Amino acid sequence: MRPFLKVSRRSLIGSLAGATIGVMSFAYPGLARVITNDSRSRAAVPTPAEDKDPTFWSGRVTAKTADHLTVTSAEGTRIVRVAPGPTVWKEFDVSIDAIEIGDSVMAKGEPQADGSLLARPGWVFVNGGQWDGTISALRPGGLTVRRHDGVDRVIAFSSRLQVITAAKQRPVAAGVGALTVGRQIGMVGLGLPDRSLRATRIWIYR
Amino acid sequence: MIIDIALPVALAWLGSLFAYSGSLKLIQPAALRIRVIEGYDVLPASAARLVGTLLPHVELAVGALILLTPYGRIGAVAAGALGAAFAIGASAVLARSIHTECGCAGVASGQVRPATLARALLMMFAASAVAIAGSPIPSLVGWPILAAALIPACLTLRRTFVARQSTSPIRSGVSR
Repeated sequence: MRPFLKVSRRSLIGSLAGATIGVMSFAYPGLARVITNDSRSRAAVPTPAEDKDPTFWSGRVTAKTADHLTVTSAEGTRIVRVAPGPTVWKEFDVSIDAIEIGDSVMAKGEPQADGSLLARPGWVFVNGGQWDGTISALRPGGLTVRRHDGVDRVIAFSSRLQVITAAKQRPVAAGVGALTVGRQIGMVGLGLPDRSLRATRIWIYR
Repeated sequence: MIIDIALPVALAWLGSLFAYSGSLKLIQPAALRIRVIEGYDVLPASAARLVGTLLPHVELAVGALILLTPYGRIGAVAAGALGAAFAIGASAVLARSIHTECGCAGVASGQVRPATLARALLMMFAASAVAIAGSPIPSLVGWPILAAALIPACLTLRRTFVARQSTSPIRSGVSR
């Protein structure tokens, strides 16, 4: 009797393995990441994945000492060494003391032989956030900005806020006075636990 | 016949899922767990703190109740209640287009996605079926399942330990 459908053994095994991984990943979320990360770190020194930029790391702070952070993401865990002094951005230039467990960190620097990342001064960003949209309302000390998909975000003004033009990156003379309802703007700033953003730089598109 | 197989499988999945998820949550700092709960933006800050602190312990207790005791049906009721809470949280996040971590697997968690909601609904369905017609898992089977469910947390702990050790002054040769 001829088989109804010709399938090679290799592709059958591959399909079954793929289906199994898919089912397991659904049944146990994050399982694939936990297992693949472990196999990656068998060299005893944690290193970022080969396809990742080795000079960059981001994730949540899971531990800290006076001079380094343990930063964990879905990609793994890495030590980020931080230079002393106000070398960290967290709305203002602050020291490592201002970083808390659970903070979101992005760092750029030089990868070390031990697998850690020596962050360049000024290149550690904590709880940074970005938002783009149209000003839908003005509020005392801030505004509400509606993204293209209709989601609103409350924006507060930082005391170090700069308002600039998007095209030439030059300060706007009117400052926050130029921010009127209907303006299309973008911004970066400090993300706050209540999901609002304290903007440190706002650029006006038109 | 199918029911005879499906119900114990559902019970084993629920028990192992809660043990797996609870243990991975437990080994991450409490502050991080609280941040994840706050990210859902459905609870006031004080309640988020309480949930973030207690959730891993509750999940581990539910997993142990299902896998190791004759009270699997009670555990299934608790699992169903947790599944309903997760479903509400995931629905609220998806409805508002919030991008936040689901927290399902501690630091290995991904974003809240429709699959997160689908899993929560499946948990509710499986828990309901087991609570109505299920029978307990024999403890001879429950112990190995529990041990297997705790392996990912052990692997994660080991990786964190290795990361810290590899950057200790002695091993890395950093002078202070």
